[in-house]
Amino acid sequence: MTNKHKEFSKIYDQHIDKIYRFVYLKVSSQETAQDICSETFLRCWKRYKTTKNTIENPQAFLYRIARNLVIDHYRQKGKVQIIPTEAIPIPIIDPSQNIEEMAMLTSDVNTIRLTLAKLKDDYQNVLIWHYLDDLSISEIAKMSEKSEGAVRVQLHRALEALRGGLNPPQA
Amino acid sequence: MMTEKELIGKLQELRQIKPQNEWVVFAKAQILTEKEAKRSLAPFGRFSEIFKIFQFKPVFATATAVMLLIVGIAGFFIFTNQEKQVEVAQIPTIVPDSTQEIILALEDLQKEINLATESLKEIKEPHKVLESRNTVVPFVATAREMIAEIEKLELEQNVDNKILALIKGVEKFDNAQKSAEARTANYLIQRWKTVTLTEAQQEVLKQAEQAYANRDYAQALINVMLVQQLIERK
Repeated sequence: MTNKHKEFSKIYDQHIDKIYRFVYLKVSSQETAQDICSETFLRCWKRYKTTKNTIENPQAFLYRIARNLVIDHYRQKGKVQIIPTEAIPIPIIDPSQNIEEMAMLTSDVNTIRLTLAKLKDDYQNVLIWHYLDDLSISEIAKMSEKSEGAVRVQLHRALEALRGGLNPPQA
Repeated sequence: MMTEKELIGKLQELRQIKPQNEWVVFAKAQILTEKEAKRSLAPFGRFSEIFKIFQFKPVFATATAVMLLIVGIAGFFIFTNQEKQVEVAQIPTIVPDSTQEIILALEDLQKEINLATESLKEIKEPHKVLESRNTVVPFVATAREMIAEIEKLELEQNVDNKILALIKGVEKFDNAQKSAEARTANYLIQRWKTVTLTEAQQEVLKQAEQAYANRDYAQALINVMLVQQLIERK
């Protein structure tokens, strides 16, 4: 195995979960998420192996590819992003939980996932990056080419939109 | 009304979304092998160039067409017939115009295949065994197709003998790949049998043993390598 192989293998291991989740939350299909995710890493690898030095920020590079592929996915299929209302099985990790707890958790997770998926794309991104992937405001600002202030404002608005989606105003 | 902390807590429950372990391992192997598929040709030297030419289908203009196999300086092939030369690739080649030259060309090809077979015997690393498969399997299939076409032609006895030797060479090459897969899969299966494995890992190992018993050595190797990667990922 070459050094490039080893380095890329490490990058893959570090980011695969995050990139998969990022894509899955946007396409709501395990199969599509897997396809897009594979293509994301394949493109990154092709670039990586031909670059003399290392890619400066592989994480940002991967997210950029993934975002573009998700956009392409909806564009090519002429699809409007439709979020299926049926429960999509999401692996619940802790087997020690009883069935009732697991069911409640699954239902909660699905509710939040569906609500998140209905938000504007930019809102989804900041929420995922900051609260799920633990990216700092400054990292998000660099990735989205915005000022840190603008990201903070966007994050605040995104949270409010999520809250609104989870607690719709009573008629 | 939820507090901001509660809202963020709910959002963070989405961290439970994870890809399946098996897919993660396979996708990684596929991505890295994409690159390796080209690099793995290196041990075969000029053979890799020959392989490229094998991908072109020979064209026979008439029933009496004679196919000439030519290995040029760069180790390339070209197919010709009596009426005209049929170019199959834009590459520099030397076109033999005598039976003696055809025989020399066939001998050259035979040497290349023998060298590649020897290279296969020396491969020890499991991932390289799988990578070499990417070259060997399509090569053998195409070579067999091509030989079948050549056998339809009326050839001089001494050329015919060389073709027979070539057929044996291709068979040995194919067997060398299968042996490498069987040997490596068996070694890894025996190794993992001595280790305490989780239920999921045991299941994959069982599938490897089953594939091995069915003489599907490539599948056995893939499965047993998956066991290793599942262990590493833990």
